[in-house]
Amino acid sequence: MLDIISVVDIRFVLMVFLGSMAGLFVGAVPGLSVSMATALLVSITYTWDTVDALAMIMGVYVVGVFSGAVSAILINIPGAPSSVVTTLDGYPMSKKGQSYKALYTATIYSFIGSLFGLIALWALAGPVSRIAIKFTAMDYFLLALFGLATVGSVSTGNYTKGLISVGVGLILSMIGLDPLVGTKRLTFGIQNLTSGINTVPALVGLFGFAEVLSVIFDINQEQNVLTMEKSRVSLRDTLKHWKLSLYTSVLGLLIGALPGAGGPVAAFIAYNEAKRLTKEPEVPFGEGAVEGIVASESSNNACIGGALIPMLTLAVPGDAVTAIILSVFYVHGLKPGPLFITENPSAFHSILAGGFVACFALLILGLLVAPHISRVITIPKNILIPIVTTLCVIGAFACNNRLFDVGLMFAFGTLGFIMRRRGYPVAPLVLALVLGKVMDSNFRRAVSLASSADNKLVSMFGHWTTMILLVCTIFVLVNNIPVTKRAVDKVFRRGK
Amino acid sequence: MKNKGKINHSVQEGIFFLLVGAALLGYAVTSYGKAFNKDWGQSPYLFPLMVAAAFMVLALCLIKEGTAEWKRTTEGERSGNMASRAAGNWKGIGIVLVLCVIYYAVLMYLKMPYITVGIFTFFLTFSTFEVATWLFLIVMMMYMGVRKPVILIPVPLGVTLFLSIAFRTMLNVLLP
Repeated sequence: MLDIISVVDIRFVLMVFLGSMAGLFVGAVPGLSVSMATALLVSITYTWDTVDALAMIMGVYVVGVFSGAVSAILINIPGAPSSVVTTLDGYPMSKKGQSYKALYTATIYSFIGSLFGLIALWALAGPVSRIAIKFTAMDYFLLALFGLATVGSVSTGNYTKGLISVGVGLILSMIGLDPLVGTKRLTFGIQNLTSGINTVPALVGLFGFAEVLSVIFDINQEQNVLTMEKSRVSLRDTLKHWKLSLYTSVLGLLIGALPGAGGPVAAFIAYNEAKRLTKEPEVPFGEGAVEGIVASESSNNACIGGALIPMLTLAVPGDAVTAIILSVFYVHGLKPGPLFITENPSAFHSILAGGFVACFALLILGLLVAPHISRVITIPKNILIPIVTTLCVIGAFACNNRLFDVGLMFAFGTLGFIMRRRGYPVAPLVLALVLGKVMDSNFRRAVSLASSADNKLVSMFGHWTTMILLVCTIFVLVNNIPVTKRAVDKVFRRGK
Repeated sequence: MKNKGKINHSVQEGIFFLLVGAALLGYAVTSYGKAFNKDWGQSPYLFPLMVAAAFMVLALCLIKEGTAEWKRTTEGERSGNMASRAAGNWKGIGIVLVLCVIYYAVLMYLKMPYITVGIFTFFLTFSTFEVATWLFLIVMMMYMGVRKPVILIPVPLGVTLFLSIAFRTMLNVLLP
């Protein structure tokens, strides 16, 4: 605990609060997203001290995930994908004149969820690292494959499209010098591609510029902003759902730790669980039930800690934002993995301290600023969108000071927009782009090591962790690919 | 009912991805053939080969799904789906992309000298980025329907100055 407190000083707190303010703004404004803000921050914080960069990014992350609920409650448009479920009961509450109560509940339970997730990160990162240190090269390959197989299954209704998105990301990750022997691959003579596709312009394009194009595409959609009527809300009344909050926080933590699953899935599952567990809600679900907001906000904020566990200990990001944070680590010369906590304790403590301070920033901003933000979140799109486009250009350029990256950003933005229109999720592509080189190098390393062994198969798959990961990966694939799923169903039906 | 020559989107996309996979497979095999190292285990083309094979299988799955969907739905449903997919501001997307390409080309090829204005100890530097961004913001806002000169001139100018001061001067971030 003392290690974490020792990181915190006035400058650190200020950085977290600045990030939190930015997170509140980008999370609440539909059309801006936490992923976009974090991607832009990566390039800006390039020259900063690591602790400052981590402090600001944790502020954006924690408060950004919460503030999606603000626009979900006030204008029925979720500011972040993880707040989609919050609209189901948040907006009906607002229509009944209870927007302050809805926002108050969302703030309190987002705080509880975030705090729970970060405490779990603190407690579990060490033990997970101790297991991860025993991982072989094949384990890392299978772990990444398991993550990509999972992200394909949870991020879209069509598993094939999810996996195709993964495939596109893997192909893009192969561009440049190969990670083991340095042979040029898929560069087609373009000198700027030799170092590979830089993650930052790709992310800024996929999340920032694609969002710009999506807003322009649906420019005629109207939004109604409901007025905020401040009413008295008792803390004791609000806290009576603490059991549901803890349960859904645990769900959020576990789902967040699954690579690729993230807040939207957690919120959806938690909402269904809340419906199942709450036999007699004061108001039916979907018509303004407070329990719906409790479940959604507790779980999606608990995902933050959950998603950071595999990112820090295994270098496998839990969601799109942690994939971007992973690139921050690389930019600052840090190497997440099993040895991260022992080799870089100060960076680990900065993340925890940043997260905890951001939780309190969330509480303060959520209770004091969020109720007055309705005017800000309705900045006309015709002013906001051109500004966001310019920010994307700055973000893409600042990372390497190359205009080539700006062109890359526009290309990725267009790709992201087309993918969204055609029903292909973008998150699997991002994770594959980040994990591609890890998979490539570890698989070839495993094959090379096995080539000198007597029994090649045992050498590659004989380790207990490898077997578990292999079974998990096969299970996820078989359970989701329509052809194999139908075949398995048929076998079981015949068995009955 | 007749299909009137319309092809299901999933089938079209599946064929496209199949071609991409085949191209990658061809690239991996031919590059391996030309390479000095003939051990697949060590070869940099092993991973592209695996990904290409998996990608082609997925593309075939997509084609199969598309065909099944095609058989399942009626002509009316198909037309409805296509109409709902086509609805949206495609023209706007095209215009914005053209504007972005022009903005990019200006940043890439137009080199203006750096002008630094000093006010006491505060220095403000102008170059291609500031001028191009100001004009880009004006044109983009005009396209998006902003007509009032009170907004159209000062807001882009204020935003450009703010971005320049915030990034170039205060955060020491290099700008295009």
